[in-house]
Amino acid sequence: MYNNTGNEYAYAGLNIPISSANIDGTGLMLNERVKYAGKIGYTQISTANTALNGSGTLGTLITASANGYMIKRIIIKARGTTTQGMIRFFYQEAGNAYLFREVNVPAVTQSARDETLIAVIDEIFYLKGSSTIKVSTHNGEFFVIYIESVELTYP
Amino acid sequence: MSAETQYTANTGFATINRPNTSLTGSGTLSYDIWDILLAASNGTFIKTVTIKSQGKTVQGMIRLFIYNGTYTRLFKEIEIPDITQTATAPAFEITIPINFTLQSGWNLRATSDQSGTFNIIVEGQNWAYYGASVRADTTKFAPKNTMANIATGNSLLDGSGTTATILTSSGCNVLSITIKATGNTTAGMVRFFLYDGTYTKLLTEVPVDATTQSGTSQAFYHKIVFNDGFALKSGWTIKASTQNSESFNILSESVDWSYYA
Repeated sequence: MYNNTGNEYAYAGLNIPISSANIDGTGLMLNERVKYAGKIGYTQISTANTALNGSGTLGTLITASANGYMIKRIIIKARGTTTQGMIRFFYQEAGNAYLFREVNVPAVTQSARDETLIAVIDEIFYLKGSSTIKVSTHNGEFFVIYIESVELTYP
Repeated sequence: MSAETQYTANTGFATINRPNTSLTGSGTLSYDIWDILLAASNGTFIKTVTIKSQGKTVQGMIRLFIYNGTYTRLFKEIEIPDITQTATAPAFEITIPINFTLQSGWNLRATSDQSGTFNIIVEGQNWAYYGASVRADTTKFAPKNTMANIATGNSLLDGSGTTATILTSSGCNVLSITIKATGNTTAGMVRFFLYDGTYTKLLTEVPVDATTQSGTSQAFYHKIVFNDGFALKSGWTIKASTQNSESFNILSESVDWSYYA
């Protein structure tokens, strides 16, 4: 059935074409009562950290509230010239931080006419309540990391 | 407005390991024809069927049947190719969208035309209606992540040996599983299993590439995305193993769903 609610990006349920599941005519788990609140996390990192095991200097990007967040996007913006390197993302819940994603950093020379590196991870990701996303840079170069998300609550 | 529909994840599996060439559904139950899933009281919506071999396959066929309590009727056939499984080449697997509503009390059954061991995994949804009043959808989603590390080499496809628990469901939609190495890797495999509290069955394999990690070269990464989610029955578990003794972080992403009382 066709989801005419326009919320496909937030839809984590089922798209079941069963006529008996006639929820407002769509047959979907519409998650109608959800309330979204925009939550932005950001951090600046510049201390070189070559570790993949979650040790060393990490920036805290976002900690989800008890309800959990739906992460929409992560933006990495260098604040100057970069050399080839890596940005690493870690998932942490009550203890160690675990590597789950890396983003290559290319060599980019910043100038008045050349913008610094910008990289976007444009993927929906549901983050459990009270868990944290942390980030590190392989090289000692300055990055600003933004995370765009919404908190999910219900009446 | 209709009565609110409330869904419950329903998962079924069986291992089939004896040939049966019949197209009529004849055979001996649990010997050469197997029940995979019994539909619930309102019926069960069968979303997908996954067929995962536990070893080498020869050209053949998996047949799905529907049993209505009296008759067994051929429903679908899936061709099986010749594939030689190794430590770096996954055994045959396929996930087929079925999107079929199975009537209450009816069974989905399966056979294999050729010898070989196959796990047949059915992903489904039961539904019920909220009876106290007529109300709109009250679905609530709660994000859920789990993280585990695997590092002990295990070459087995039958679920024995060293495995790590990735996720234990309380009735959830599994959206993705991320595999991230924490160092160099050699050609190998990461395997995922379903455990129902009694039996452990191979679900899927992810080949691992040989990579040399550095400050400019990423460690191995792979993300399994379940389109429309994988509805995992409450109490069931996803486990993982690595073929080689190399370290991988496994991060699961899922949503629990519930309804207002």
